[in-house]
Amino acid sequence: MGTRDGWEETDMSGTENEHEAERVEYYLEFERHLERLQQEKRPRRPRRMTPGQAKAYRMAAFFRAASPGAAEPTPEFAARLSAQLEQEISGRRRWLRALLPAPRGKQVSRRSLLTSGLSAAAGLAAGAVLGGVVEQKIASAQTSSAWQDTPLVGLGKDWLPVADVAEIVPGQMRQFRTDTIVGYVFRNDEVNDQDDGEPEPEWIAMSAACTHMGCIVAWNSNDRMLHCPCHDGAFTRYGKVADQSKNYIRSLPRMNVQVQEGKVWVQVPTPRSSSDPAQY
Amino acid sequence: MRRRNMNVAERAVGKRGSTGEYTGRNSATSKASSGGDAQAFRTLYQENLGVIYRFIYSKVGNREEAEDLTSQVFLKAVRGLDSQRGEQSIQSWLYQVARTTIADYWRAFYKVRATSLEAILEQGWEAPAEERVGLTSAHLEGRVQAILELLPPHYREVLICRFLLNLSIKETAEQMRLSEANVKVLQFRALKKAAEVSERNGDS
Repeated sequence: MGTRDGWEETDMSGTENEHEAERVEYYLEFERHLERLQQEKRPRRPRRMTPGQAKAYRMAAFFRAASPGAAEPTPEFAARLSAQLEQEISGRRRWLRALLPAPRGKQVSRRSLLTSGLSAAAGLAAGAVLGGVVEQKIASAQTSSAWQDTPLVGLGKDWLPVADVAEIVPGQMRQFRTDTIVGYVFRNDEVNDQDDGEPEPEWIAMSAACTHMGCIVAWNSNDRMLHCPCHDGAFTRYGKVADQSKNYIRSLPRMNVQVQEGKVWVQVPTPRSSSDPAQY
Repeated sequence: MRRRNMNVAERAVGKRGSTGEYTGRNSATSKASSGGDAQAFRTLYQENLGVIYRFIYSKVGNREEAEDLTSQVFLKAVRGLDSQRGEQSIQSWLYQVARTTIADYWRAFYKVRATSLEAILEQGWEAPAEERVGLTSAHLEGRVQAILELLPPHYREVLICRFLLNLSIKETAEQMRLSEANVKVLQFRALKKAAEVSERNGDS
């Protein structure tokens, strides 16, 4: 030991003798460090160490790794990181996918729903349907009057809080995201608005997946419309197709919504494995 | 999606080193270079999560930091899969990313002068460039065993109690019939000695 220059000369007292430079505080500090390691928590390391301390701290980590089972990634971590990486991958691919032509006059295939679901998990603006939980069917012959009936298949009994009422600006969309769906909640500031002769309710929740190809529509607070990034489609704040020449596109599916205890609750599709908390 | 992720994760944890099992195609280790293919990356993840995690864990010694840094490594990998690898094998490239990540981490932590940083790296906080490929837990334990055998008995005993049996300071003191204060001194010195032994072996 000790032929090197110490990295903090001041602490070395210029001695090379094996234990001379050690102080009681070293041992106490080191023991606190070891306790943190045993708890699998980020430890506090001294910012300045003598070479001797550095050796002890380095070997502590190394010996911890040899403790049975300690240096194995937990399944939870492996799954979490895996999901994170999938998001990265799908983020890289979504632009390519957006260039694909839309399937016409057919059901959207389960596979394309799955792949767009990968993107939705990324929060990267493509595809609202996760894990094949929801299957939106686009019928081959649709009439423009069918807009309010776009069904959300897979709707379960699960109510989840998706936003705090206090966070919602009336007249503006608020996006939410659960494990099974990406959607918008909208507090209508024109409750008596007669839209197609139907009064609109105060609270509206709808899927954010464009009914054309499943890309996530984005709210523009200036023109107060939801725009699809993939094919320039647009929906009104009530989820209706804005451009009547595109009336073959269905309205955004709505979800049941209610307000309780200061939170907005939405009835969401049920995941296959239950008990997933909502993420705002 | 969820189910698929769990599969990826379970395999990554449970079947390390078993190449090619997941895809039914051949091992992606040699194939993943072609253009960051998603499936190849998944296989790469499954094959290397264990070794990279263990490598990082052996530098930081706790799950919290090991998970943070491992995530950083694989996120860097997925972003730069086809850009900076050159002629290396995927795995040694991953090790290199891991080493850089750890070095950056210490650098940020210590905010040290350049000379001090060199000292940190010299002393093996960072791995040597030719870190053995495929660091298994058996390998780690083997290296620790080899070091233990070269230590005086009381050093060996305190390290076994604290690290291999995960005893508390109190339990260790009882086991060794020493005061807790004595154990605190002993464990510090034992690890210091262990570092010297391991350097002499050209180990760490």
